[in-house]
Order: sequence, then structure tokens, then C-alpha cells
Amino acid sequence: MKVVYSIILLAFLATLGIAQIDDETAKSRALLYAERVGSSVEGLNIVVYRHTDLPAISVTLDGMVNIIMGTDGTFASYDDSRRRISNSRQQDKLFDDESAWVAAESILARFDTPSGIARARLVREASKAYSPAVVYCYFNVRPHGYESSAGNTANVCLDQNDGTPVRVSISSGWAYEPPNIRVTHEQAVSKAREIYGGSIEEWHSKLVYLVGSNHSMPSYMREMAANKIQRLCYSLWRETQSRVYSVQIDSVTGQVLTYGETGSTSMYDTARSRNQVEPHGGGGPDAGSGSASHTPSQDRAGDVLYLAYASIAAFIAGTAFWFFRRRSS
Amino acid sequence: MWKLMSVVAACWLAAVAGAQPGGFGIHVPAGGGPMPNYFSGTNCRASGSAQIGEPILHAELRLNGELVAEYHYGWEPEEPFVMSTTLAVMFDSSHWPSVSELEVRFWVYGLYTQQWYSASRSRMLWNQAMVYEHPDTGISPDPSLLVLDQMSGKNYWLSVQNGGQWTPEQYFANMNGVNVAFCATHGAPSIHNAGDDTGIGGNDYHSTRIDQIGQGLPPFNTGAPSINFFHLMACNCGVDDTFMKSLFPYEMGWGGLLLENQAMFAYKVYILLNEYASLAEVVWPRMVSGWTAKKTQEWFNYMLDQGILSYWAMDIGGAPRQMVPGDLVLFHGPDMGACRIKSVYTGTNTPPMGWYRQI
Repeated sequence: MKVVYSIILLAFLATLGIAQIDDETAKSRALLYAERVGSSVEGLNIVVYRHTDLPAISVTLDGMVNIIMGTDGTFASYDDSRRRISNSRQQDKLFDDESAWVAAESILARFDTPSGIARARLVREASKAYSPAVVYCYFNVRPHGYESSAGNTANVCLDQNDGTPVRVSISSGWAYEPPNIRVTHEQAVSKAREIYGGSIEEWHSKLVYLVGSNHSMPSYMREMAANKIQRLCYSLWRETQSRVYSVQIDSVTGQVLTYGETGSTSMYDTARSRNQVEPHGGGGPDAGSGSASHTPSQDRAGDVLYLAYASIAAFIAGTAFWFFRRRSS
Repeated sequence: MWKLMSVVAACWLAAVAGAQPGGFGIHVPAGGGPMPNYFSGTNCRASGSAQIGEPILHAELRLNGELVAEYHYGWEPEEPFVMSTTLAVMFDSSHWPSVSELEVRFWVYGLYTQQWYSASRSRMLWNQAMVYEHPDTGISPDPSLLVLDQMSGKNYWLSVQNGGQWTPEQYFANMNGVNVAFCATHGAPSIHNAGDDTGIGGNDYHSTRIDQIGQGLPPFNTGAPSINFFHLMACNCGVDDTFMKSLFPYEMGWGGLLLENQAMFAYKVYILLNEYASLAEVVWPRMVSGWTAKKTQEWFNYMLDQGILSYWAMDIGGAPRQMVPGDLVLFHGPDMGACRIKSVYTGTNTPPMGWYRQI
């Protein structure tokens, strides 16, 4: 009898564990989250999509704003793909970093965020053909005083011109093992050198908490990641003229976790375009000395200019033709 | 007698009122407009119209015999007869194999003659993908094999260069005719390597595409179709929109939005060579399942946020860190990355809806 009760109890707990909100609840949560972000969606057309490969629900509002939440309705991300063009000639609202941080923090204040998250990194991205200039504000935790770039995080991407939220995401629930450093910096560098050579002085290192879900991580790290646990590891790197080498080593066991190399560096100068485009700014989209080079919007402007020049040329030619005919007659 | 005359007059008036461009007859495309020179991409258009001098009871638009749009007179009280009709669809050319012919046929059935009439025109289908990989042995496992595997059986004609000292000339020669492209190589903000380590810049793409497109705008141009989707897997090539020039001429012959159904993925950070295949694995299976580029990016960002996936990235001059949303950059037009390489283009980032839709 006890066995039967145990099975029933387990089944009940399992049901609770996989409890999913229904579509209507998902819709109302999505509207609530959009409101918290400060989005101006009308919510006239709401599509709910349940991912088959993830424990997540996507709710698309008015075809352009997408909100992803856990199957229990927990907020994960907000993504606004409505087109924004900054026509304002005024200075960007978020021109200084502090105003961007404050704007991001005011949005996050309306959500449950992981405890201990703090300002970590701010990245500005120039405007592209159909995307405004944006500023990414990355918030991380510093578990036990060490760096961590993934796990319990919050990221806010804002339109630099008017501060409109473009993307907001929050991840929580991660635990961080207390530091248990049994491998020294020298031992870690030695292991890195075994893989990629270089002198001791060339190797930089720091201790960071890692999400171990990378496909090439040892199985125990991937298992920890599946259980949302991070371990303190050495991250080592060495930069040469043509490569950056990167090695990660478990600070507890000394095991090499992952390693890899990039194909080029910021000092990249071996290759040159046939049009002599310089890698850094000197020969950007508009500076090529070879053939003409334009982005789509520039091409449109080019067309207008071409038409204007052609019209002037046609007018001059026509006037000259009329003048010579008049004289000859 | 008066009744008969009034019916004839009503039909004549209906015919005049229903007169349309292209005039009397059956037209493919509708209204006797220009026929595309080829069908390529998920935003192909086919249409037909008819005005046969009698009321039309039924009309059908068929692509290679498959019914994609139809009209039927409902015989409802007060329902007026139609003297002319038009049907149009947008469709995914990769519903059929590349380099095969697609027949667009428009059928109509007349009330008086009780007969079916039809007109048709045919054009070549052109679904071609190129997959290129730099010979650096550090790029392992091969992302090109993964992309090749994903694209196989999808009615795309595939050209693959995995390794070898391929030159920019060979690369661009292969680009002539493709509408989907993948290139895994080394890169910097405005340049990436060919297989022989010659640099390829945005200007090279621009000048090449001008030559390859020829006269006119796709699909009415004399040369190659537009590139719909390009995944450039190289360090820092997504720092700015230099490589967006691969999408020239950025517009279709029927007008509408610039960069319709066109998008490009690139990275604005250093990425590790031995993670190329894994990075390709998060993009291509979703793209070939009919998801839009934007949805693919959203899904990737979610996976990074939640720690379900992790990759290494480095900013210029920075230390290694775990990849975060924003490192994979999507370049797109006003359709906000709604580009698809399978399933009909909808202009929105909704789930895939099948290979055609009425427009």
C-alpha cells in the first residue's frame, strides 16, 4: 500500500513540477511584461507558441514584439522588432553612460531580478541601415567576489536616441560553488602552455565562474550546468600577431575544460582587400578606393543625386541643341 | 424581350466595370504584367487574371498542377456575376527542385459556354546555396558539412568548397546564381579571407553583385537572383554593415520594402575556430525549418541568456568571456529580419505557415 501511495505522491509532485500555464494566462502575462518594460503594444493580435525543444513559451504581440517566458510564466525576455528610425536632430537621450545605466535600471526595477546583480559592461552599437544606434547594458553578479558573465544576469538594450527598450532579458536561478581553489596560477599557465605554447609572461589569466553548457566541456561540467550550478575556473589567454589562444581550466581539479583559438586578432593586417579596404575605419563602407561602395540607403540617395545630375546635363544639352539649331536656321 | 436585353446590358456593364489592365483574355501574370525571368526564394509571386466576355463561375491558379488559389461563384441570392477575376500567390520556390521548370497556369470556367479556358507561362526555378570554408585545419569540426547536411534534401542546388586554396575569383564565380550563402573563414571588421588568404571586402561584394545582377531588378533582371540569406562566420565581420553589400541590389522589381526577404548574420566579436560548427548548428536547423532570421536570433539569444548554450567570445582587445546576446548581429531591412529560406515569406516573424499564401 505504501508503494501505491508513494507512486501517487510522486506522480502528483511530477505534475506540479511540469505545471504549465495555459494560453490565456500566457497572453495576460505577456501584456503585463510588455507594460512593465514600458512598451506601447496594443495587443490586438496575440500569438502563443509553445516551444517543443525548450521549456518555454513565446508570445508575439502585434506581430512585432516577442516575449519569451518559462512554462510557469516566469519572464525570460522581451524583444521589440518594430522599426525605429531616429529622425530627431537632438542629442541622443542616452549619450552618456550613466543615463543609459539609469534607464536600464529603471526598467529592471519593475521585475524580479537575481539578487546581487550589478552594472558590468556597457556596449554601444552604431546605427545600421534599418536599426537605430543602441546601447547594451549588461548586468552580472559577482559571486564570492569573482567575475561571471553568464548565469544570473540581466541585459537591457535601449535605443540610444530616445531610450526605447529594444530588448530586455533576465536569467536567474543559478548557484555558484564556493571557491575551492586547489590549482595555482602557475599550474594553470603550465597546462595552457602545454596546449598552445608561448612564454609564461605571454599568458594572462583570471578566475571566473563559468556556465559549463559548452558542447566541448567535460560531462561533469555540463551536468552542473544542467542543474544551474557554476564553478570557479581559470580563464587564460594569449594573443599573437595572428591568433588569440584561449584555455579554461577547472580551479578545483586542474582539468582542462575547453580551449580554442581565433583566426585573427585586432592586429589583423595580413590580408588586404583587392579594393584596398583597410580593416579599421580607413576604408570603411564609404572609403573604398576601388569600385563604388554604398549601403542600401546610400544607394537610394545616390540614385537621387544621379537623377539630379542627369537632369541638369539633359537641360544643358537641350539648350545647346536649341541654340545651335536657331543659329543655323 | 426587355428582360433579355436588360440581362445583356447588365453583363455588358459588368464587363466594362470589370475591365482591367491586360484587357480581354486570360493573362499570366495578372493583367498582362511582366513575367519574372526566374523563380527564386521564398517570396516568389505568381498570378493570373481573366476576362472572357461572359461571367466567370470558377477560377483556379495552379503551380505545376498544384492548386494554390481558387474562386467559385456561390450562387447566393443577389450575388453578382463577376466578369473578370484575378488570383495571386506568394510562394517558396524550393517547394520544387532547383533548375526545373515551373508552370503557372490560370484556369477559368465560363457561365455561357460551360467550358474551361486557361493560359500558362513557365520559368526556371532557381534555388541555389553556396557553402564555403577556409582551409585552416583549426576550423574543426567542419561547419560546412553541418550546413551541407542541413540544406540537403531541401530542393536547393548546393555548391560546396570545404578547404582548398580557393580564391576570391572562384568564390564570387560560385556566388553567381545563389540565393543562400554560408562562408566560414577568418575576418576583421571590414575584411575576410578567401581560401588563399586574399582579403575580401564589402566593396568586392558590391562590385561583383552589380555585375552578376545585370540589367533590371530581380526577378525581372537579366542576371542572377538576389541573395536572400548570408551567414558570414568570421571574427568581427559584424562590427558594421560593410558585408551587407552582398545583398545588393536590395530591392525587388515589384517595389515594396527595401531588402524584402533579405538578411545577413555576422559576429561582432572574436569567435573560436573549433566552435564554428556548433555556432552553425544553432542557426541552420532553424532556418531550414522555415523560421525567420529574426526568430532564429531571438531563440539563440534566449539560449545564451538561460545558459542552455555557451560559447566563447572576445571583444577587440578584451579577455575571453562567454558569449552574450548582441554578439551575433542580424543585418536586415524594414521587414526586421523576416527573411526565410524555407516556407513562404510572410513579411512577419510568425511561425512558418507552409509553402504558399494568397496575396
